[in-house]
Amino acid sequence: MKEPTKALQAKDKEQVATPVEQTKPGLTFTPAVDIFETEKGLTLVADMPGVKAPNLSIDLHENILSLMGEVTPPEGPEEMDLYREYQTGRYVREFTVGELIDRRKIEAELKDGVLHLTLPKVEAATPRKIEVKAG
Amino acid sequence: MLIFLFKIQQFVFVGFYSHFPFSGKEGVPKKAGSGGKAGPEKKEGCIMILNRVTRWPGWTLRTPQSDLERLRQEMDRLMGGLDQGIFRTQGAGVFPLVNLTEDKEHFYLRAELPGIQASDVDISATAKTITISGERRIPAEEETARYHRREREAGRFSRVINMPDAVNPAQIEAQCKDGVLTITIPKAEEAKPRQISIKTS
Repeated sequence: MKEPTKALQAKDKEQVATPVEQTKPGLTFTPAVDIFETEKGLTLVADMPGVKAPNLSIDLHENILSLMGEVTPPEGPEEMDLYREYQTGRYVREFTVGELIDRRKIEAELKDGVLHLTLPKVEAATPRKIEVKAG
Repeated sequence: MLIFLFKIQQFVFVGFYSHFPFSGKEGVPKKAGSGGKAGPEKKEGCIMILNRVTRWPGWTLRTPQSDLERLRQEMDRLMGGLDQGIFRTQGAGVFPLVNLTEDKEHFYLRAELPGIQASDVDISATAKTITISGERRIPAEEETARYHRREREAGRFSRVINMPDAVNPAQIEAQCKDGVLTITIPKAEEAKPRQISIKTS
């Protein structure tokens, strides 16, 4: 039986003050992220609306996974603001990744402003059932 | 121990000032032996000293009123701080947050709807309002998945936005790209700015 879906609440975008100064001026936001783990690996899903694939950079350096997505302001040059409820700016988030991730097999897909990042575990870390022979 | 010191401080101040009430001349004690001509000058002098003393930096008079005032300021600061936490109301409090811009010919309404397909959103328009409604779905993962973080939300949304001027609903276009919904709304003819030439006779 399907439960009635609840109404979405509006949430202001989380703006952060970056500890390191950025080369380009602009605001920086923290994207909302879902992280879940299956047997095969970790999956990270991030909401990054307005980011196109060439503007997204994913770096894995010394166990720190950093996501950075640049956003170009969508307004044209002739447009004047009448009512502004949200600001646009780049998205930055960093995570510490355990050593059980197989770095060569990380996959990323950006679709409709949502980034799917798959981090497969190293072969040795996947739980393997060991058959017990009765005898 | 500190409270004891405070009490002494209060007492000292009150005792000091009880001889020199603020209201002015009538409470100033008359020194014995002074009379007649010396009286008015002495009173002026006492008041002048009183004024200089109260303006001395660092000497704050602790009357019950000022204590209450300070308490009120502390409470204001506490309550004001709460405003920034969970009690803060958003700009409109309705999902999605929108930006409305205009140029000469069109209005542009933009909303950030990541992960939403065109089929999940329903846009309808009248001459003066635009209604955006739909549902954000998050596909359920397999059953063995264990969530470490869950920050994205799913659910229904519906919002009506009033246009500042009349629009032409027949020619509205909407585009959903990279999770940003852009609605281009052409203005009605009478709402477009028209140049008026000044006749010189």
